[in-house]
Amino acid sequence: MRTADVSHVLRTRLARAAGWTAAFYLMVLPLMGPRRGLWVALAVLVVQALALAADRVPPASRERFAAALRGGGRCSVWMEHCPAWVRTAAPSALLLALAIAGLGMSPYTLDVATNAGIYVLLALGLNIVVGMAGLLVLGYIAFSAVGAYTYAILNTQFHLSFWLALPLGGALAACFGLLLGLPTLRLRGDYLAIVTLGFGEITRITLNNWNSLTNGPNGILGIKPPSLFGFTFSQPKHYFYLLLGMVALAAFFSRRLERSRLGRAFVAMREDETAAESMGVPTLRLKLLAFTLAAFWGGVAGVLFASKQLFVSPESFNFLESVMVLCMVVLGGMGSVPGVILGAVLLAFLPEVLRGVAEYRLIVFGAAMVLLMQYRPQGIWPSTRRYEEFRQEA
Amino acid sequence: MLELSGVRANYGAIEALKGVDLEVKKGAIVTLIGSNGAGKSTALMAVSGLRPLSSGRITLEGEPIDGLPPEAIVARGVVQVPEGRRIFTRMSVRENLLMGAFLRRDRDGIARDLARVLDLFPLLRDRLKQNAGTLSGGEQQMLAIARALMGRPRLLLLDEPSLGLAPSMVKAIFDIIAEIRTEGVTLLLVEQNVNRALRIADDGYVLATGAVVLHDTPSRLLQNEDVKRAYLGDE
Repeated sequence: MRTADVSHVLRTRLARAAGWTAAFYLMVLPLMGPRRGLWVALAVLVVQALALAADRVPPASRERFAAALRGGGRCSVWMEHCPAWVRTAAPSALLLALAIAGLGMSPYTLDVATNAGIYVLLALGLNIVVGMAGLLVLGYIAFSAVGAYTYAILNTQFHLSFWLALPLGGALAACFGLLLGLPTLRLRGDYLAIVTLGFGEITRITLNNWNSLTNGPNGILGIKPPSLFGFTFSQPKHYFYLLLGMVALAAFFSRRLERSRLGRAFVAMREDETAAESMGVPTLRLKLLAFTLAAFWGGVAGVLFASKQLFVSPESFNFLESVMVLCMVVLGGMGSVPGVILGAVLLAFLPEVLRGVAEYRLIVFGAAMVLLMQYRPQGIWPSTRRYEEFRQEA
Repeated sequence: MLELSGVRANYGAIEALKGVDLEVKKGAIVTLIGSNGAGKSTALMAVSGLRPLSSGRITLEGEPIDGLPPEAIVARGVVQVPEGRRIFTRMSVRENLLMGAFLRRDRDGIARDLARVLDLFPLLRDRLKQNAGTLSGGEQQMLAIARALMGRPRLLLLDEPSLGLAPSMVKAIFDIIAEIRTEGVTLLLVEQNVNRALRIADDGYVLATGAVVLHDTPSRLLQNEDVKRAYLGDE
């Protein structure tokens, strides 16, 4: 390449970098004001400079770097090759380690970990319908709202025990899932996503306006914490162990489902619906089942949420929460149980870790998501299937 | 065993089948030949319940099966090997085979059939754990047939099993079809390899623009001037 060409390329690059920087500055201006906005502009400029520098790297090494990032998702493949006893023992060992670690955690860490546990439940539930069956559901948090309000209302009005509310909230959410699924599961992907998004919003708006039942935007106060044989859950560590147990249960359930005839059929349906049908898979019924199972776990997570917060209000169940749970599933690795757990824990902890940068949190968060999806579209810990899929495409 | 009478089916405004009459006798290999768009695949999809009829009747051993959902038809022992194989590429070979037995609950029987199918297709044995998408075209076709056999079919519907395969693979596939017949399975075979199909079949139908235009014994069809000209070229 001649020098004139190089300088021409450089000029256009610089002009583009300047353009992006200005655009970002204007975008964050109303949010952050002129001075703090400059920091964002500076960050954008740095990213641009890094991109320019990356272009100088010979394509071969860049390709190697990208391949290393993509290939890093071998965890599941690697696990497959582990001896059987390692595979069976690893989850129990991890559980035990977490239980012991819980003894030494500060109340703050325990609290964050408990919240992460609730997210793990939600993500595992959503993974059944999105990751396994391949149906895009956007308003998932609504099922959690059903569970949370079930416990809130029945506990404050009728003193229903937490242990009864747990399956009941799940079952009620499952009923909502069934009712929503019956008319909508004939829809194709994008339409299903829109309808479920609408359902999520309708649920939130209903909770917000049905004053006589839900106390509207003020929410429901005075929920009793769970108790067991006279022992009352009152400290963060109590909830931590409760959630740890529930997560273990949900993970075990997910794992069993994945390996079962039913889980296989979910995946087959996602792969090729017509082929699955010609094998005798009743696709409509199975989609409904996936939907109902996901809703059930959403409801269970909701009951736990209400029992921990001791307060519920509609704003806890906004659209962003649904998006967050979806991000956890996609980021961790759709259809992979360990991946989804990892994704949920990471995304639940990330805002806490980023507390130092206060209001830039969302920007850093967004940047992290974009980078991850750019370099690891299969997720952090993809299932063997997804790993193969992306390797073949690469 | 299987009888189609006056079967019509539409794709929107287009009539793909315009009153098809066809009979498959128990234990026979019946082949359905014809050019692209003649309605061969549609006829198979209609039998499997994947394509609804607009009129007509399909009976299996005297009982009507049209209008039943696909899973009910599979449950009655009618299994299709779809065109283009349509295996589950991101599932392992083993999982694919187990999907074929989706409607069965007899664990022992499934295990026995898995062993039997692997005897029939030895090359699948070494690849049980492999992702099905990594198999070659011929191996994928073998897997598609093996998967269908896992459903214990009494009637196997094969849609273009030799399409796009190397000649040696085509021979292997037809050898297997012959072997499946000796196990008492009835076969309805749609093929573009007319020559081979007619040499293996007991009965032949020629389909053109959605209707049966010829029905005869394969040996007579092979001598038929129209068939020779249209489907056999200058062999």
